[in-house]
Amino acid sequence: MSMNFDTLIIGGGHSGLQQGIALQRNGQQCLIISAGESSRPLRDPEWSQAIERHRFEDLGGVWLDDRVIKGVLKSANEGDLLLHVFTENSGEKFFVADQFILATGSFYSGGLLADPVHIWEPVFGLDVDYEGKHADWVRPDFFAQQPFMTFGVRVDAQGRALRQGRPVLNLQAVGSVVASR
Amino acid sequence: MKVALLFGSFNPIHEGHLAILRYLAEHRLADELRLVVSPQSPFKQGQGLLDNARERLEAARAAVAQTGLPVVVSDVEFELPEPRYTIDTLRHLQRTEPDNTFVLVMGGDNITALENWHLADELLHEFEVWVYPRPGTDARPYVDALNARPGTKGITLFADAPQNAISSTEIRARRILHYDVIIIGGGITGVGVARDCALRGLKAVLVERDDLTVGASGRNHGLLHSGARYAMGDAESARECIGENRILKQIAPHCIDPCDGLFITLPEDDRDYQRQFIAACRAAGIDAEALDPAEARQIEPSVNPDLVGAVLVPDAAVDPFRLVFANAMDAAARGAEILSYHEVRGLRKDGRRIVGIDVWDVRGKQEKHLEAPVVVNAAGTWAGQVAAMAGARITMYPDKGTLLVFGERVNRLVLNRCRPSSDADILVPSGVTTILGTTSQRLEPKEIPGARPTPEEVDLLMSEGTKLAPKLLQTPILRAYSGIRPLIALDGAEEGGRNISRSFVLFDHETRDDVPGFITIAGGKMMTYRLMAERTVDLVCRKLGREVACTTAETPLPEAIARPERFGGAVICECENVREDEIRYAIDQLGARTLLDLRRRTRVGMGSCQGQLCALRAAQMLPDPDVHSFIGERWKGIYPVAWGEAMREAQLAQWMYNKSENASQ
Repeated sequence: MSMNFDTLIIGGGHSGLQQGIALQRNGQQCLIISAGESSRPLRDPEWSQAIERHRFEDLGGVWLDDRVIKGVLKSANEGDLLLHVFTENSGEKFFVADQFILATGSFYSGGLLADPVHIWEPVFGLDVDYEGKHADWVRPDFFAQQPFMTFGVRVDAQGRALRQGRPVLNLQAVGSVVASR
Repeated sequence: MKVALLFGSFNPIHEGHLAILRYLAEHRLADELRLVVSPQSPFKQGQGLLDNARERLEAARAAVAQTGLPVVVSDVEFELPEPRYTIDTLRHLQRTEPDNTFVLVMGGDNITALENWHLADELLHEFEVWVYPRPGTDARPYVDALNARPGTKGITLFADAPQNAISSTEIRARRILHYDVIIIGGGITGVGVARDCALRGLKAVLVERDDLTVGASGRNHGLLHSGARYAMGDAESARECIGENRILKQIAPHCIDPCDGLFITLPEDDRDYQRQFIAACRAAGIDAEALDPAEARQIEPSVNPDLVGAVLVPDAAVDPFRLVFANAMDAAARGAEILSYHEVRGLRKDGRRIVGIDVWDVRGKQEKHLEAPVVVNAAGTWAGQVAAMAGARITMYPDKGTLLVFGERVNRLVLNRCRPSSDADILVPSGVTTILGTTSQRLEPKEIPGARPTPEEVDLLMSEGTKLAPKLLQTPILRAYSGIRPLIALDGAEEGGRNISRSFVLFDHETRDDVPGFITIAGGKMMTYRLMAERTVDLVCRKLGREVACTTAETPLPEAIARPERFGGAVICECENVREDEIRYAIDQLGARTLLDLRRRTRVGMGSCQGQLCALRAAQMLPDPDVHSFIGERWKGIYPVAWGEAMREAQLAQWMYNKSENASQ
C-alpha cells in the first residue's frame, strides 16, 4: 500500500466512523478497514452505516472492505509499538500508520470471541477484562445485569490498549470492544 | 307485508327468545315473524354447544312448533356467502322480497354494540329496528342517541315487553357435556388415544391445560428408536420399539427421516460388547449389520475416525411436533374434540366412581362440565397429580434430560455408542440441525416447574458427546433444552433412574384402587405412543361394552403441518423460510395465539437466530404474542451455552429486549 495514513482505524461501525469523521475534520488522513457487521442498528434503528461512511469519505477518508487479521509489534521503553497490520486479502502487503484505533466491536461483531473457558480479542491478543468460565458470564434471569455485557479490552488512562499488562503506545481502543466494568 | 326478523345463532334456542316472539305476535306488531338462524355468528367464534348449524335450525323449528306461534324459522343465511353480516342478509331479503318491509328485532344488550356492526350507519338508514329490553342493560340512552342521528329510519324500544334473564351463554355454562371418553393430557399419548377413539367411533374429548406438546412431547430427542439401544437390557422394550418403528414409518412418513443409525465402538470400549449387542438385536427382531470402520467412515464422514467397530441399525429421526399435530388434527377431523387451554379443576365423582371432569376454559373464561363413563389420565409428568385428584396413588419418577442443538446437520445417520447406556451417547440429525443428548437427573416434583438446562450438564454433554463426532467441537451451538421423562414405577419395581423400565403401564384403577371409571396410561417412550393408545382404547372399549378393533396401525396419518413451499407472502423468518401465509395458517387453522404456540407449529424461532429477528415481525400478526415468555424461554436455552455463536445471540437478545442493558450503553 503506497498511501500514507495518519491514523488507521480497524472497524467501520459507529465508533470507528465517529473517530474517522472527527479526525478527518481535524485534517488527518484516515483509513478505515472494515469487515464485520455493525451492531449499532440493533440499538438505534435510525443509524445508517451507509450515510456515516458517506460523510467520512466526503471528508477525504478512505474506506477498505477487508479484515485486519494481525499486527506486528515492537517493544519500546514505556510499552509496545504497533508497526503495521496485515489483512485477509492483502497477502504479504501490509498497512502502516502513525496511530491505530481498534473499534472492532463486542461479541456480536466478532471483536471479542469466546470458547467455553476463554474470552479473547482476536486481532492483537490484547488483554481482556473478564472472569471465570461460561457459566459465570451470564445470569439465568434474562432481565438481570449480564456480566458479559461489560467484558472487553483493557485500556489505560489515555485509552491505549493493554497487552500483557503493557500499553500499546500507538493503539487506542474505542467503542464496545472496550471493557465497561 | 311487514316482516319482523329475529337473528341469532340460537345456541340453544330458549324461553327468552320465545317470549319475544310471543310478545310481538300478541301485539300484532308485524304481519309475519321470522327467526333467522345464523350458521355462525361473526362475533362468537368456536363456542359450539350445538355446533352443527343444521341441529340448531331443527331445534329452533321444533321449539317454535311447540308454541303454536305463527313464526317462520328461516335458513336464508345458510345459502349466503361468509361472512354473513346482518346488513347483507337484510338487503338480500329486501331485494328478493321487494313487496315486504323488514324490521330488525334485537335485544337491549345488542343495541349497545350496534355501532360496531358492519355498515351500521347504512343499516340504521335502511331498516327499522325494534328493541326488547334485557335485564342489566338500560337501552333507552342508546336508542335515543341513535334515533337522534340524521337519517335513522327509526328505532322503537318496547319498554314493557317481558324481560327474561336467561341467555344461551348461561345455558351452555350450566349444561353438562356428555362423551364416551374423556382424555386428560395433550401430549403424544393423549392425542394418540383421542385418534384411536375417534377411529373406533367413540365420542371423545381431550383436555390440555396449555398448548399441545408442552410436556415431554415437545422436549425430547426426536429419535425413532430401532430398539437396538434396549436389546441388551430390556428385550421386551426392544421388540416393542422395532414393531412400532416399522408401523410409524408406514403411517407417518411425513414426520420421519429414515436416516438409519450406527452404534460405534471406540478404542476405550469393550470390544466384545458389539458381538453380544448384535446377537441381542437379532433376537429381538432388529436388523443389525456389522460394518468395518472404513465402511462406517464412508457412509458417515463425521464419525469419530478412531472408531474400531460399527453396527448399522434402522434408527430414524422423527419430528414430534408434526406427529402430535397430525394425530390431533386427524382425531378432530374424525369427530374428537381437542380442547387446549382447558385446565382440569377437579374430577366429578359419584361416590368413589369418577364420572367426569370440571374444567376451566382459560381463553373463554368459563367453567365447563364434561361427563363420560371412562376418564383416561394421559397427563405424562403430571399423571401423579391427576391420579391423586381421583383418589388413586401412582408413583412417578420425573427424570430430567438435557440436550444440545447444534446449528448444522453434522451427521447423516444417528450416532450411538456401542456400550451400556450412559450420558451423552446419542447424536440425532434433525432437519438442518443436530441434537446431542442426553443426561439423567431424578427430580423432586417441586423441581419440575423450574427445570432447565445447567452449564454443568452442558459441559458433560460436550466432553462425552464430541467423542461420537469430533466435528461438533467446531460447530456452533444454538441452544440447550431440557425435558422431563415421566418415568413411572411398575407396581413392585425398584428405583434406579436408567434401570426403571421404559415400558409403559396401563392402570385400571377400578381393580387397583377401587376407583371405577378412571384409568392411567403412563411411562413408555414417544415412539410407542400408538401401541400405548391401542392398549388403552382396548380397555376403554371393554369398559364401555363395545367390541371395536384398533385400526391405527394401518390407517395413515394426514400431514398436519403443510410444507413451506405451499405458502406465499412476505418472509417472516429468514432462517427457516417461514412466510406470512404459513403463520396465518397456523393462527387460523392450527390455533396459534402466542409466539411459543407459533414455534410449535411452524419453524419460526427454531433456526439459527432462534427467533431474535423474526419474533417482533411474527408478534405483530398474533392476537396475543406474549413476547416476554418467548424471550424468557429462549434465554433458558442460550444461557447454559454462553460461548461461540451463542454469545452473539445472547448479546443480540440483550440489546434488543433488555432495556436496563440498553440504558447503560
